[in-house]
Amino acid sequence: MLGGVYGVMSVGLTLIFGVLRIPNFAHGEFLMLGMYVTYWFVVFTHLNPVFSIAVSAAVLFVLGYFFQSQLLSRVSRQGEVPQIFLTVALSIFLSNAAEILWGSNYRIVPVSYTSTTFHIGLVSVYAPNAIIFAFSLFLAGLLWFLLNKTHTGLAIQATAQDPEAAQLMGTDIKKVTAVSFALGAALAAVAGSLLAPLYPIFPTVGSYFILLMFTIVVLGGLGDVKGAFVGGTLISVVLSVSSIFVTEDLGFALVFIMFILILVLAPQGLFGKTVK
Amino acid sequence: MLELESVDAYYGTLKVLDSITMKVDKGESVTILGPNGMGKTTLLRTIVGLMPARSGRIKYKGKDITQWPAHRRVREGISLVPEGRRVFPYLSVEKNLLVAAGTTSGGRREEDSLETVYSIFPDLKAKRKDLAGNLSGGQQQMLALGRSLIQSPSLLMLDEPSLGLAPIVVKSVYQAIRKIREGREELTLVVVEQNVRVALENASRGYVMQHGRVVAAGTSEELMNDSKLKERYLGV
Repeated sequence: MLGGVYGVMSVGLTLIFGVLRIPNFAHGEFLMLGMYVTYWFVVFTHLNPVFSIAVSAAVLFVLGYFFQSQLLSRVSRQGEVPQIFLTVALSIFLSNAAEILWGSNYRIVPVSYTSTTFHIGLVSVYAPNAIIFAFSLFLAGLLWFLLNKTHTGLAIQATAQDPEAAQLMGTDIKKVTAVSFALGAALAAVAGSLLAPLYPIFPTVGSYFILLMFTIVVLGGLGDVKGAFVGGTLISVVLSVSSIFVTEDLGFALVFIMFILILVLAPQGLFGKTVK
Repeated sequence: MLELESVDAYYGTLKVLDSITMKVDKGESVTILGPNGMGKTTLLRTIVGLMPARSGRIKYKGKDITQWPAHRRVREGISLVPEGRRVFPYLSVEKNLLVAAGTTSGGRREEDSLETVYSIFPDLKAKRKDLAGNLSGGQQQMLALGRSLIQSPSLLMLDEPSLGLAPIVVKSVYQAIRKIREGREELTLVVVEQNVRVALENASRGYVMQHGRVVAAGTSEELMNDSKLKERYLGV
């Protein structure tokens, strides 16, 4: 069930890194901001955190759009290294800004249902996990549909593969890139909002997730939504099984051993497409 | 239809188009000749808007389009089949066409235009689920042509459609181009080509470029029979 947690985290990065090929090291901080939005939303409104999703998605969409169209787009022609610098800089900026604004204390979203469990047959299910799992399935499905079944999605893929040729197809590539980056950021925020009731929230929480997110996106095959989802589930299963038999720290080692093995056997990832 | 008035273009500080003036009428088929590196590709890229014109004016259907971004020019009916084909390698053949059509599958109109492309290029229909990157060079050229055709352009520009293809494939590419022109008297064609004979056979007029300038212009017949010109600029 926790697979959904990792799945939902990675869907946004699949769009930004897998499809647009922008190595977004600030993705963890987008998630962190989503968590804080949910925290303050619940503190002020006392509503169910699920309702904060719309707010956090909107906030991060605007931030993502602004960041891509005003800053990232200026270096997008210079290859990956300047983009890495810029996104790492944003990541440091955001986590420090969060620390200045909200302090470095751990915050917990005050909700009632975190301890609720229900039973399906012999399996006991932890309610928040079930919500997250359902949501991440829904989001992954939505993104898959957007990318493969709508013209905007085709334009996004075309722009990622050959921006100049995409212009020749009548695509406004500046707009497409900014919108899809913003969408990826909004998805990170949704993940943050879903995770907020389960994890303590602090300014550098993003760095805890970012490495796993990149691993999942590459593992599933760059740009493949289904792959990111399966990859996320696989990693969470390895993590939770290993935490039963060994310690959780060793679980991470097992995850990366598995990652290396899969890359050796299938360099394009689990579901990656190749051109011969 | 298309008018260029003393258009200049630069790569950094290097001048690659030097005061180009030319005029193409509706329904004409014009070729641009000249050795490699003389600015032919740059000229097409400037017309479609991938390269900015530093000075001069470009007019299309009476409108000044010099400052328009490329995607707007494409939507107004200027289409370029770029050098090296530039199909989207990780999209299927059909999705390559749908990106160009500006719509998704499902609608009646899209089905019609897909069928039109497939009727000219039956090979593409057989391969429509394949990734474009897995097609042969000739098939990719057909796909690139199909992608432009589905935009129903008024001005179709082809950059070296025979580059890197076997002679027999070149023949079928030009057959396809003739098929495209059938029943489309309004379609204006501008073709950049290094293969002088093939180019002049398929065009009514030609321009010869040298170092970013137009050094000669005339009907295909005039250019074909000008032995001095051919010796000096075209190397045949």
